[in-house]
Amino acid sequence: MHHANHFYGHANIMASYAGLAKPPRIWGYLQHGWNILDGFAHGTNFAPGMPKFVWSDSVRRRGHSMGLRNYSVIGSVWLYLLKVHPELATPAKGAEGTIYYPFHGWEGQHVLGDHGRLVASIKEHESGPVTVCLYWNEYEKLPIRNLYKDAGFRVITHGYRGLHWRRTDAKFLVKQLRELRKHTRVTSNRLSSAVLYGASIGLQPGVYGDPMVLEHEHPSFGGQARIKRLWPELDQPFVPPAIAREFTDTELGTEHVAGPAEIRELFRWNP
Amino acid sequence: MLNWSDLHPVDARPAAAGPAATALLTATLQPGDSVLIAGPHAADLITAVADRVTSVDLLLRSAPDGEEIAELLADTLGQVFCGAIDRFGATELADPYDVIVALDGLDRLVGPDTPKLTWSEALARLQARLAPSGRLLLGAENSFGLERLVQPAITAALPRDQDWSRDVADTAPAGLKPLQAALRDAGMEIAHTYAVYPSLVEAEVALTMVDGLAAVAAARTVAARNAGPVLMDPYRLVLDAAAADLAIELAPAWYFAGAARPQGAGQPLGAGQPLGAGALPEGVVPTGSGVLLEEYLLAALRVDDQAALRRIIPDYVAWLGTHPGGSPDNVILDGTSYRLFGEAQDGDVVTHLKRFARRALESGSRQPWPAGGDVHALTARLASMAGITVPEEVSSPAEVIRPLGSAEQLATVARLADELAHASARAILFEGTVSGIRRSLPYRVGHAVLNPARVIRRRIRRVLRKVRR
Repeated sequence: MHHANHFYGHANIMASYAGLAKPPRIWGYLQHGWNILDGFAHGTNFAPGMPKFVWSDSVRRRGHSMGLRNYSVIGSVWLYLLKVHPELATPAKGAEGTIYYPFHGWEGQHVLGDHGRLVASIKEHESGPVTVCLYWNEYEKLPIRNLYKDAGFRVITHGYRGLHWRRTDAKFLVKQLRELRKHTRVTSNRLSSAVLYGASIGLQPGVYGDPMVLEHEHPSFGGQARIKRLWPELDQPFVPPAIAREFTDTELGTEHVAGPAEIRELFRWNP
Repeated sequence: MLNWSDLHPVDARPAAAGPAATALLTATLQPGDSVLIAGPHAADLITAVADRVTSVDLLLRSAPDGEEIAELLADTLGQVFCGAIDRFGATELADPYDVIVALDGLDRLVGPDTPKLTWSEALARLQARLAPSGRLLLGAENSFGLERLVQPAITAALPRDQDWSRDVADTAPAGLKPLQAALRDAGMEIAHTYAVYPSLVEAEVALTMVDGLAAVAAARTVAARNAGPVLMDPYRLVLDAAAADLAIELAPAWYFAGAARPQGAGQPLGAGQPLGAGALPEGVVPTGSGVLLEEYLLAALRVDDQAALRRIIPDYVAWLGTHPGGSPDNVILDGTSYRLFGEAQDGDVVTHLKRFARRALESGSRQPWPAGGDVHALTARLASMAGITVPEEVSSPAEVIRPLGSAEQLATVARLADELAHASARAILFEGTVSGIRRSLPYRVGHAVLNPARVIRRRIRRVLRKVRR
């Protein structure tokens, strides 16, 4: 259906969960990242009446208020990944240190900000070893990569999320899970999917550093200011685990996870 | 009335009847009571009274009814008086009664010979016949009950033979509060007010509280009585009224049970007083706590709480695996346990879910998904939550939802129109996408290259086939 359904190998994960080798076309739109509005990127051209599969009830409520219908809250693909990979249910042996995710843009929207100042912030807050995970397009830019490397950080990328069904790294999310399991803390300069993922499996989350600016960010999302207003308790370098857990349960939709038979039915994957 | 029968009416409603009326009498009357039954009551009600007490008198306006009942009670101590209550003089009887039963109300105590008899006068005449500690069991119809919202009141414009009417000032108090006030003004001490469902002439249940499972019992009777075309779904209406604590005030009728005169503060009504608050007949409302599973599921559908559906449906299906079947409209959900409301129903899990899906759609309930457009799709969606994959129906055409209520029909039309509009818009969008692809350079180049290649391959195959032969 929509190419965003395949980002980060989401469609593949859902197919594995549903007991299928390869993902057939998903009849609907699958939320691909943490979202504070209707669950989808601004300007997504929805085919009328098509189902929308989202992570949490909050995006359903907001979307409904904006005229969108036919939501099914099913929880995030991340939660399905955890079910598909029971072998990654516990931290890796010798897990230590922090994994830091500088806020990333994508091919169409770049991030404007000072990575040098970010490095200083990280050094200020972290005492253990630090891994910096860059998104593919920033990882490709040597000056940015080297900036973090030269600071003594390990620099990695989880891969390419894919675009228009092409070059999708189907292992993106499982790589991310494996990497998170090697750490005890997950941090970023913005509250984002990666922080949620890490916190959901017990890493201690934190948010600090210049949040940077996303090019052409649409005002309807309310930007960083809105995130801070809605979740002020999460805007700190060391978020208490109980607060983090409540937040990730809600936003990742822990209580909304559907069984394999329901996923096949919802996605029209039954023969 | 010589040419009139309330027991076998021609163009009038029948006499008061029903299991709830019998239950009320059984619960109220004591063997030693002297009883007057005033107004038309069904023969089995009268015999139930006669079986229970030593002496029973009757006051009937219809001569044929009087003769029939007199024959019926040939072996019972008591008399059948035939005539209007305004002519029921002091000479007819010396001793006052312990109990007067007027479950049909006060309207049919007189015939057309009576020019005027107000409701209060009729009540006063009955009270005058009661012993100081006497009890009154009085029925009253609700002129603005739920039926008014379910069925058009045709007889209001097209009166039947029974509606000859009297004086402009001669009307009964309308509504529960005015009625209760009128009874109190007349000196009656109301011990219990029962909401009677679905009507005085077929009183199936009488309830002092109409909430939860009692509301379901009431709603079922109204739905059974209105099983044809209606203005709106009677079952839903009763349950919604009950949820708003209006099911007593909007009940089709009431029974008032109490002392004909004030008994003094704190003083009990005495032996044989009506039983305490509850439901009649006994057992009509299941005991214990819990909600009807169907109501819970509908509430979840209404607010789009799919997580709640996902929690409950697998539990319910697991319960079905070990218990005799019950569809959600027949199962009580109590926390995490389930039990039947009434008799078990035949059928497998899918049959039960299908019944729920059909009832949900017929009630015009909100559906979170367009999949709710037809019974099969909604059944499949719900079943999938319990891990059951319902195969596609290939041959049979989609089941058409036929709500009986005009309101639900309109809701269904609106929902289907919306789904149709979306489907059409989607077809246009997809068509545009396909034609866009066709016009695109990669497609045209591919087509230009592949078409000749396909022709060549076909020809080579043909040649090879000939060579092999």
